[in-house]
Amino acid sequence: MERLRIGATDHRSKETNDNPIPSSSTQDLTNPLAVLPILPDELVNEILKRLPVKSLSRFKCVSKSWLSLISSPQFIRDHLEINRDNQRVLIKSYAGSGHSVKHCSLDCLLSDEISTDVVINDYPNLEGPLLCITIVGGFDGLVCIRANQNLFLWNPSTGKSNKLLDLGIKYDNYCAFFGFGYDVINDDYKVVAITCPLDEYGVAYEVLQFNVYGIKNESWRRVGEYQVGYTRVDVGGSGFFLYAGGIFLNGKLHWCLRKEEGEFICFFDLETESFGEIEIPKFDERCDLFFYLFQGSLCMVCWTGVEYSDVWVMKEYGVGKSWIKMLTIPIDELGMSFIYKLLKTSEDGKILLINGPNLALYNPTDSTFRYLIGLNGPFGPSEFVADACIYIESLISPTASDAADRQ
Amino acid sequence: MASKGNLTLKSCNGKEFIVEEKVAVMSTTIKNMVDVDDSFAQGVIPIIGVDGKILAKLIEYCKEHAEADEDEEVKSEEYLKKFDEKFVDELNLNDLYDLLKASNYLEITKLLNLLCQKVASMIKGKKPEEIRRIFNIKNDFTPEEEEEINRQNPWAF
Repeated sequence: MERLRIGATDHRSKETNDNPIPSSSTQDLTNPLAVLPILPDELVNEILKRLPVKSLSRFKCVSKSWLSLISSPQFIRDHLEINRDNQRVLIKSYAGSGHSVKHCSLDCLLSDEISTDVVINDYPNLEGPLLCITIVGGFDGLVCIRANQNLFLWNPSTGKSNKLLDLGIKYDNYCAFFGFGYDVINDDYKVVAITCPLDEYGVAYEVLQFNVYGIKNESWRRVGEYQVGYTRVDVGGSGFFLYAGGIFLNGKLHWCLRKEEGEFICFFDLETESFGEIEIPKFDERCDLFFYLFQGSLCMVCWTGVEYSDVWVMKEYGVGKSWIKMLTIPIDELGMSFIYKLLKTSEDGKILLINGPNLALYNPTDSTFRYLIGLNGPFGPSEFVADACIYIESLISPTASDAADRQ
Repeated sequence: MASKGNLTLKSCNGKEFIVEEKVAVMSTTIKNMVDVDDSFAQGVIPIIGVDGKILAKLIEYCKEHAEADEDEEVKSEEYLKKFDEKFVDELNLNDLYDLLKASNYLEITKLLNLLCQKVASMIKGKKPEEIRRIFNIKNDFTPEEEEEINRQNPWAF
């Protein structure tokens, strides 16, 4: 049996104590004499996989073999899989001076601890001042953002970013929705842009054009058109959600769009590059809708002008009948708004959400909010939260050169 | 000779341990041996390269976890978490190293994960030169090469 020999080779005899390691009687590695006996490569690999990105970035200069291990596509993938719970929140906010982008650990927010690792005003190099920024979406370790009308794939943990090629449309004549996700079959991170040529008055469109950008090919491709009929572009009111980034679930990107008959969910499959529609819940009355991913399901927050919002969840993906009203969240005076973006549920059942200009923890058992950032939070009194997304702390590269040979 | 449902494990320095089969087969290596060759289940299983002290530690760990797997009510997740913490905190470096190698060889995945996590937490804040010392690694970069690598990640220092 081959395996039997692995552990047998260099066992030291501790009982005779003929080769003592003086400092090894404790776990104190600061002692200059503390040295681990040489470990097999596979164990070093296992240990390194469990280190934070910051430590790994620092340890690249330890030796050539460590640099090569830490940079290898397989290691980067394994590190991502093992650290899937190590999630961070990217927050876009406004302060007196303008936009601000920061990120901090999700666990700190969920446990309502003051985060010691908040990174403030961090975004890709824009070659100029930041004028406006939109979070398109986050998946794995990457976040797609739109800053000053340029699209970026960005890994906030490593600081590496990739400015995508221009879409080649004039935004005066088009409205555009974006989405970001991962194509498992082709192992490619993809950005999708739905562009809609506007009518001569700039208020309506009739067709959705699907454009795909894969980081392996680094180019935009038009992959199809979808006739939706005459649709007014409604910037205020219920049209607000139109500009949210696509929701990535089950290999597909989803947007809540509107056509003459009402709202519908439009999806685009990143693997087959096909598109289609998904039913939305049957609401009793006209309401403002906000569309999210929540607890691994498509989710709609519906507000009819009353003192609470209803949260609907599609329990069984793609099955119109499986939409259920999961909970009702009261409108909170301090929140000053009914706009909820549900981000995550903590282990003890509290929901991290954006409530008006604040990040808050909502406790469904007693219907109370605890504000974390914003008007009442530790992040500054004159600041308000505009958007947030969750990503995983990882070494995943936003550029093709590193991703091309990923296994 | 172990009674039915028990296995006898023998360390490299000749110490024998009679353990319940469910405890022993937390090790995939032992499980495979027993599955493939029935004589192991009847006789003595030699655990090559693992001495009595380390084997006793391994058995202590596997016993707690095998019992917890069988009856969640007796040993809750929280209890196991506390047990794991205490287990790794009480190890000195020699034992940590020996257990790492032994749990790798015996394929006790849970324990291997726990020990790797422990070492990771011990080294995560270290400087590169400390890492080289701890792992006995020779720096094979020129000073220029090292500076170039570090220049790409100034925020990591």
